[in-house]
Amino acid sequence: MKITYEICLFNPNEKLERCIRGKVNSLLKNYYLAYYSQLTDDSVTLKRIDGSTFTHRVSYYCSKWCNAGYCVYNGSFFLDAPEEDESYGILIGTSDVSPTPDDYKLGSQFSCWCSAVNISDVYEEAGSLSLDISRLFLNDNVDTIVKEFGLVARAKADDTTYPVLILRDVVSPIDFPVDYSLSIKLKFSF
Amino acid sequence: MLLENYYRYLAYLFDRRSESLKDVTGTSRTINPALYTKGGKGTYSYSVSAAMEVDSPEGNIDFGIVVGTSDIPVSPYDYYINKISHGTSSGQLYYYSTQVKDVVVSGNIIELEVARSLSNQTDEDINVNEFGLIAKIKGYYFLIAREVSPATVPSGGFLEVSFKFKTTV
Repeated sequence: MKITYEICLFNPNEKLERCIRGKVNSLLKNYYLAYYSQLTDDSVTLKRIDGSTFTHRVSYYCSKWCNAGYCVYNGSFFLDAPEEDESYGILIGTSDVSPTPDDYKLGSQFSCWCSAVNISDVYEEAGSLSLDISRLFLNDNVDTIVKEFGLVARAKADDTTYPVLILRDVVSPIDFPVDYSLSIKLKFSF
Repeated sequence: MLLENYYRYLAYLFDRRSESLKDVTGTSRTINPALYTKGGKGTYSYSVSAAMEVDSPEGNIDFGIVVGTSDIPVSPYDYYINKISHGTSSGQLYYYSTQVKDVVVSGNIIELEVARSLSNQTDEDINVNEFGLIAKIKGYYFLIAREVSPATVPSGGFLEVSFKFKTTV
């Protein structure tokens, strides 16, 4: 499986200024451990973005008093962050420290308005199948330079979920002035 | 090649949405992050799984790594593999368990390997043309990867098949 990124900058008039593209190199140890859990249905220890660890398993065991007569199962490893939720999904940052397999947070996360994460349908392009994950950022904070992005999933443990960094890459610096917007698209394909 | 079923599983997992996958019989199966309804009030205990298990036990070729005889080129929409059956009779291969090995980090390399050993306990050589990885998801079986590559397993010989997922950070 190949993962590529496309980062595009738009000025306040929504005119495209520039795009950079490349291959994502850095699926992290957290991702592989979660993948192991998916392939075996066994428990693994993941590190969340505050550095603490927890036990994750794809299976979800529900044992509760159900007043309304039902329990809700919300999935176990998801990326579909809503608008303005910077706790998971695609995130951006300003650190250019090289990724390592044990990274569990962005080097320096940058905070600004962000859209919901969009996950496309599976589609065919030039004989290959792909799946896109994308998000738009609008800088309502201060002028900055984006140098990294990450992908944070929420992984289930018992009745709660914890954010875990599964991918982090450092890219060519891209100026991100106030009132500009930045789109990031990750394409999973083979 | 990772197949359509694999990508649809990722979409299901990442986006908490229903997806339709085609099982090994060609039947479409919808998997969804369901709302599990129980009648009436009370304390209920149950477990559900979103796993895509591949760690099949010895002799089980419903899922895990399997081999077959077809040399039809791989398509991303493949859902079926023409399996060589398990056993020690003519034309059969003996399947040991599918192993999902621990994640290994070596320097900047992270690797996860899924492997299975097969032996030919018959008196004749057996030709293999295709290799597949079948996952068990919510009780159904889905082909998620397939490769075509010919190999001959001689009488008394072994075949080691592995799929490696690897990243250099």
